[in-house]
Amino acid sequence: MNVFATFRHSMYLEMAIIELEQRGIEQQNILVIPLDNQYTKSHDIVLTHRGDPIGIQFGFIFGTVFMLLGVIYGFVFKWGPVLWGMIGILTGGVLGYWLDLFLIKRNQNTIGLSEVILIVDCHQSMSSEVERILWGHRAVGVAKLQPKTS
Amino acid sequence: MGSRVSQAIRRPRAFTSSYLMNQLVLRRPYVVAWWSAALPGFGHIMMCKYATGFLLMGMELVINVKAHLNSAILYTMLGEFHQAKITIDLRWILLYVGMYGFAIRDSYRVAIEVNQLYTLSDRGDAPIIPVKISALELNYLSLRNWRDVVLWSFLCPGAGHLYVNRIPTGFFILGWYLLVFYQSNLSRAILATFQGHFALATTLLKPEWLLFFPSIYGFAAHDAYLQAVELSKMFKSEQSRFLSENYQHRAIQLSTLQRKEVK
Repeated sequence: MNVFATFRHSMYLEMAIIELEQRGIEQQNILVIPLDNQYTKSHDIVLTHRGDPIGIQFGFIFGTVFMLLGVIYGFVFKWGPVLWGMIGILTGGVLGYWLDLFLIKRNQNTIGLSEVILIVDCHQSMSSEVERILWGHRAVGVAKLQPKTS
Repeated sequence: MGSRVSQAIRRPRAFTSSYLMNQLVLRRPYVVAWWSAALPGFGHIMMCKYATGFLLMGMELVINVKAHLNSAILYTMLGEFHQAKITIDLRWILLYVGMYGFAIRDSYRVAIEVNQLYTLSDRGDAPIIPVKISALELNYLSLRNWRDVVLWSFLCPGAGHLYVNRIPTGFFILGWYLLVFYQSNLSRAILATFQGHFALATTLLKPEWLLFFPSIYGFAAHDAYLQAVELSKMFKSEQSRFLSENYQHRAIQLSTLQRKEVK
């Protein structure tokens, strides 16, 4: 009997595997296949997805520049440097973040929800416990497969 | 096995200590140069060259304050050029020029070279140590939430770095934040502003210190954000490597299935 599950990378994944082993499932009956997602596949990381460290993050940069301008001209404007600085960082931050979103839009839906495939080979008597352990450790999806005995 | 170890020593990806996980990073060279221009030292810190970065930050602090550079920048931007000229301390200002140029140019060079080292280590699949414990601190790879990091950095610059367990950077940025916040009289100015005394707030503020603030504020959030993303990525690749090595003994399940179906 096979139990299939998909996971995202997390500590829970390893905890699930440890617990399966403690319940008597042997290591060679657990098959784990980490997937290459769109963003791990490419070495040309300059062109990749949201959250990648190599995006520019204009939000922080524009925020800083506008805040500096707000602080400087705040010394002559009525509301003073504090308010103008805050206005500056909000304006710059939002503007920059909007630009970031605009620049990476085309890659957004390439982010994988499932990052690891896990297959457990076990006796039928164990299968519901295996399933419970997998669900209990944040599996994205779980399915049991009973081979047809014709 | 032997070949992997020697490869690991030659092209390592990361060094794990309990106080920080220092690593090779990918950064856009122009972004690094920009942060060096915002405040010398930040570009090097962004590339995880901390000793260089802290040295340049220290020089920046001393020369900028002693030369009254920030005040001169303020007057220049406001169009009071004569005031700017008499504000600058001529005994200090020339020290700034070489240091500033070096910080920008050198951080740009470092970014390009470290990007190359990163690519080499990535292709060589260099191993990463995921947990390190010492008497005073513990450090481990895990998924870090970049939203938390940005929030904490905005509430308290430097705190975001503590969240991603980069204690030296956190220490320096917290120290700078504390110094600048106090010396610029920002606390009282914020209180006065929110009580509606705008003119009072303006006179309370010390521009020669206040002008440091936007750079520290923006950089703390940006760098901590990048480190959080990087840590999560390293966690995933380390885990993926471990699982592939230990849980791929045989693909028996699928081949069994196929046989059954054929029957």
